[in-house]
Amino acid sequence: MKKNPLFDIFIGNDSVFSFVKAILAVFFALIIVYFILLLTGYSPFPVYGALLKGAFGSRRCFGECLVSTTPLLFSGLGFAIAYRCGLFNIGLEGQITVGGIAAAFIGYIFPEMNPVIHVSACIAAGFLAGALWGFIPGYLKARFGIHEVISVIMLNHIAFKIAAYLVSMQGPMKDRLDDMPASPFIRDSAKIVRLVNGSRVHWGIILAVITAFIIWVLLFRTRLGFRIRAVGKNKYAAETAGINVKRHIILTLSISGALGGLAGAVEILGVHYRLFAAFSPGYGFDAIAVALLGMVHPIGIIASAFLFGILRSGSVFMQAMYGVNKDMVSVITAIIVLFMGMSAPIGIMIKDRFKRKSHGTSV
Amino acid sequence: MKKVLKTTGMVFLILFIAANIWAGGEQEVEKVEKKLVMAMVTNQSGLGDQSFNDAAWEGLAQAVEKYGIERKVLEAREQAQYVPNLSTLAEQNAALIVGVGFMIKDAVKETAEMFPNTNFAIVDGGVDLPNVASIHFKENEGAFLVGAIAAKVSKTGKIGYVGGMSTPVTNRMEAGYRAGAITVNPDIEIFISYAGTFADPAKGEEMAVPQYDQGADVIFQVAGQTGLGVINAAKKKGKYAIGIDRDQNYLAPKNVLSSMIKRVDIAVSNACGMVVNGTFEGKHYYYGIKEGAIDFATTGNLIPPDVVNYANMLKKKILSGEINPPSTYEELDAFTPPKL
Amino acid sequence: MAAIIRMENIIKTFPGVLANDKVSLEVEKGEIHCLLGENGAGKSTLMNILYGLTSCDSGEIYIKDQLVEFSGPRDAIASGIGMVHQHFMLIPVFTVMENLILGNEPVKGLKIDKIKSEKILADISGKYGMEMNLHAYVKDISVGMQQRVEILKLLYRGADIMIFDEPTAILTPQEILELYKVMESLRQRGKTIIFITHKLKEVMEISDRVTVLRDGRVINKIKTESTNTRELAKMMVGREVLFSTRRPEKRAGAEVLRVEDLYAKDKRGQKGLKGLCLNVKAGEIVGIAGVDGNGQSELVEVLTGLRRTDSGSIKIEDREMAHRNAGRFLAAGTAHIPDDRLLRGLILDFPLYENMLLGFQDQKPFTKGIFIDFNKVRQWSKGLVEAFDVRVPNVNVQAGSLSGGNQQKAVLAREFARDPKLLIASQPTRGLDVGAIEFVHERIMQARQNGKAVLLVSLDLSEIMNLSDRILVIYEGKIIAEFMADEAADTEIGFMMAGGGKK
Repeated sequence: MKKNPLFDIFIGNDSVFSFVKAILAVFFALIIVYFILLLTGYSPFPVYGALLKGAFGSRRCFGECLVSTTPLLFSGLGFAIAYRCGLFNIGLEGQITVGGIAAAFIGYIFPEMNPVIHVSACIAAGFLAGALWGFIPGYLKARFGIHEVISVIMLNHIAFKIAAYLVSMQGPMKDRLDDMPASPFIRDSAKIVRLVNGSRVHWGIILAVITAFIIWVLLFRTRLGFRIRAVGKNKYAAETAGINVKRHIILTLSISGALGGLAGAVEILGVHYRLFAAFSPGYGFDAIAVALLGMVHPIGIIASAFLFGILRSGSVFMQAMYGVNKDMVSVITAIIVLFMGMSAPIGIMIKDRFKRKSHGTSV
Repeated sequence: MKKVLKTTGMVFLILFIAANIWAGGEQEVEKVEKKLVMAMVTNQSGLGDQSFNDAAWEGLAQAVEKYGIERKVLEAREQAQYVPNLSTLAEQNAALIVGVGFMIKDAVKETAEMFPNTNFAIVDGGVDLPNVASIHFKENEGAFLVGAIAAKVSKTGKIGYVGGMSTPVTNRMEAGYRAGAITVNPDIEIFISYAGTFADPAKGEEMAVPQYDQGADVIFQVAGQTGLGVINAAKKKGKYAIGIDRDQNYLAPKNVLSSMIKRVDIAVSNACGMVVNGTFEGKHYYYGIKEGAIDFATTGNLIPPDVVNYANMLKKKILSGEINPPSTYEELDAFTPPKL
Repeated sequence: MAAIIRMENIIKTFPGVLANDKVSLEVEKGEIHCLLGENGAGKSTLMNILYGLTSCDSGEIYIKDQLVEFSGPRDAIASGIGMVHQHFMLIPVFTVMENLILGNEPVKGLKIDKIKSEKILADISGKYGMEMNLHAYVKDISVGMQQRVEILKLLYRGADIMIFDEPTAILTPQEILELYKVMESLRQRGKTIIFITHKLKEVMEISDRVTVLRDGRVINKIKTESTNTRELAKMMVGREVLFSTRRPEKRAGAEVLRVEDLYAKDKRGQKGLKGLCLNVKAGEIVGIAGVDGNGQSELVEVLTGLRRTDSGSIKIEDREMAHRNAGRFLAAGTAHIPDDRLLRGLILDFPLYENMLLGFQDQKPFTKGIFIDFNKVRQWSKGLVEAFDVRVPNVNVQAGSLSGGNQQKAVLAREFARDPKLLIASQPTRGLDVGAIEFVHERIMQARQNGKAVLLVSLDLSEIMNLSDRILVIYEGKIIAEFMADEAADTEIGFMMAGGGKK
């Protein structure tokens, strides 16, 4: 076979190639969206400009971009670790919710104290609540063989309704001094400090990136990670190798849920400062796309969570500058997400073409 | 393979050209004249909700007519988007930014602190900042009137109330409504349900049907989109419903007995005017019958004339302070129907 | 007679592998032509090219003296070529007839003409002696019957050149004989058959001519009647092959495994093992002979901690192991060569070195606290791979990309690396070619020489007879007979396997 330097650089190397694929997917999506924008009466390039400006235009905008990246990164990691164990955790939204409830509760119920202790306690509470919300479906699956997708959907609903009840007019966590259906504000000592002035971005993003590295090490360098991956790829072989499959299913779903809980806790402690019924706008569901686009690899998920963050914060500017309709913005982001999901088939297509070509030259 | 690629390429090229022509080539060039921009951020129902957000948007339209401003809207899809939406508008130097709905309160507070030189207004919420005008409505006054009308019109002595979520505003209306009804008929039976959502018409119908089946012949809905289901149920059952926020008679001309009108538009357009005239102040504004912002609708002439007169009489008594419709459950408990 | 198929100078490369190197093949009309070679010799690649599943890099194909170029199986079918794959392409919940006419239904208006299809199909099956119930569901019929459906499908579509890809691998001896009959009748009616195999016996029994492939090259083309198995084996493997393993004298040592009165359920929750007793001593190979489905897989699973025991005792060196999980069995010194290496033995998506770590994941020297020292794992794997002659470019390749023989060698390497006291080998040579079988047998024998206790479960009686010191016959979940190796005759064992002792 004739050597093709381009092939070696961009396609031969797997990690570079996954990046190339993701870029191409976004590129294709932008082409399709171009036509949609034109046909609905907008000029595409300025709208794209607005999208970028909304994400990178100012310190505040970039901050917003990172603000949405944070919970997406946590929950994307949560989905990924479950997926690596062969589990499909679409219950992250519920796990985020209970994590937020727990963090908010610890955040306001105690008086002002040392902020390090208070924030850590809140985060730990969110972590544990999320872990519990992951443990339940894990246990149900291991003990009774109930499919995790079914049980987490139910647990999602339970979590949503619990949150709604807690802050409803008569709910136990409702702030009696305020007419909003929300909990009291958390203490100042429970707030996660903002990173810079003039932007809402907070230390949670740093925590999220550190968590990504921890999960990376956990999955690919530790005994536990090896066992989790073994169960995910072939539970029979894992069982034969003396790995307790059921225990790892429970443990992994608990970790996955805990990561969701972290997302919720950090969102409450760093952004909202109090609990609302639906404080997470579906980060737990976006997590699926984030994780899959990130090749279910913690480092890839950092990149894809950031990309989703750009879309979320950039879409505000598309509306503000060009009056692109709210639903239209949703359509555009959905198309981009759709194409991101197609990055794998796109990759196969490209590889195929390259192979044919290089074979052609060798004959 | 090559062939396929080539054809696809061609198709795209043709589409590209066609689409450009169809779209009329260049978009219109930026406006030269710089107008004051006044903007609003909707709550999660967004424009087209037939009530709250639309009314605020209409208020801005009136301001466009009266003061020659330019209006703008950002629709928030989720709680987390309130702050970025408000900040984006502030950065674009909007002269007034109106936040709609009580859920946006925290976000307005946070943004107003961040942009102390920008004027904000919030509808249905209170923020104590020098650059935020808080607009409140005395819905209890209007609810009192429609409560009295419902009790008068009811033949069964049973009426109903369907709320969206249990919120301060819906509770306030419930209190006023019940007070109005017992003023007319101390023995009246009132069914109360809350659907738990403002966005689900099917749920509204589900809530209304049992009330009708138990004998209620008028239901007051305070439930946004959910309330459309209540009106639908009235239509199916041939009973009466009372609309909310705007005159909703057009939805079912034979069944929407009346509507409690809440003129968000007046309040919003007033706020715009204050900014233009330089009289804007960050304080609480209360809009009621006196300000012409709360009323009841008579469209469709379904209310008998004597009942209309009766309601107008009550209205006057509220204006004169003779009647104080309760605005909370506590006030309702303490409320004694006036002897008329 | 003129060649009906001529493939000339076919070259096909996969990344890093030259699968076919100037391969030429000539098949005459009306013959059964064997394509013989070890796994990975390039047989399947060549046939996939002929069937249009893959394209070759260079070379020419002539069908009936016409140059053809297939871009897919559709073209091949149109030229009268059909293929019976190893894995059947049938829809289990459809009837035989529905499967047969699928994609090519005789229609009347918009409806399928059932009467007409039935008649056509009955004609075809009658003509070739393949009578079968057209209205049975595919999921309900035996594997042999399913294969017939595949063959009928080709006939229905008018194929006159038929490729059989290792058709006997999944059949019982009885079914193999039936298949031979069908092939014979096909040949008599002028059909041409290409028969892919690596089993020498089959070549000798059925084929007219044979083409031997090794390492992607044609080694020889020969008439079957002018050769013998020994010669063919040498061509295929490239060296002399020993057909029976010589068993050196060895005295059995202390008892390692003792199983008493063992009861366990099978997959469907029925009784699988009903009071089974056996023992295995150090330095001894005990073979379990039996017809498939008499409790062999349950026995293996129970003895490796993968299946719950209902009652009874399992002792490994006097330690009670019943109700323990697989991890405990490994820790107690058991090694397990599972019958299904793809399911239980390997994780195909994992690189080879991670597969080698399976079962060692929590053991020194690979662990460092909670971490795994993957560098050490790689190095160690490299050593194992060399020692067991697993042919891979490096240990980072995915296990799924290896050939069956190499996969089995990898499993063997790992299990022997445990330095077990007890080796449980379940069908260790299933699906392997001659060279690999020989290798596996040698290793098992070596384990015996090193004083391991070996329990060998196999459906291949000759394998059992070749290797075992003692032979136990399993029937309906019980051991019903025991033979010493020297005194056993296969007829007698066969009689017991069929439940003869019971009557």
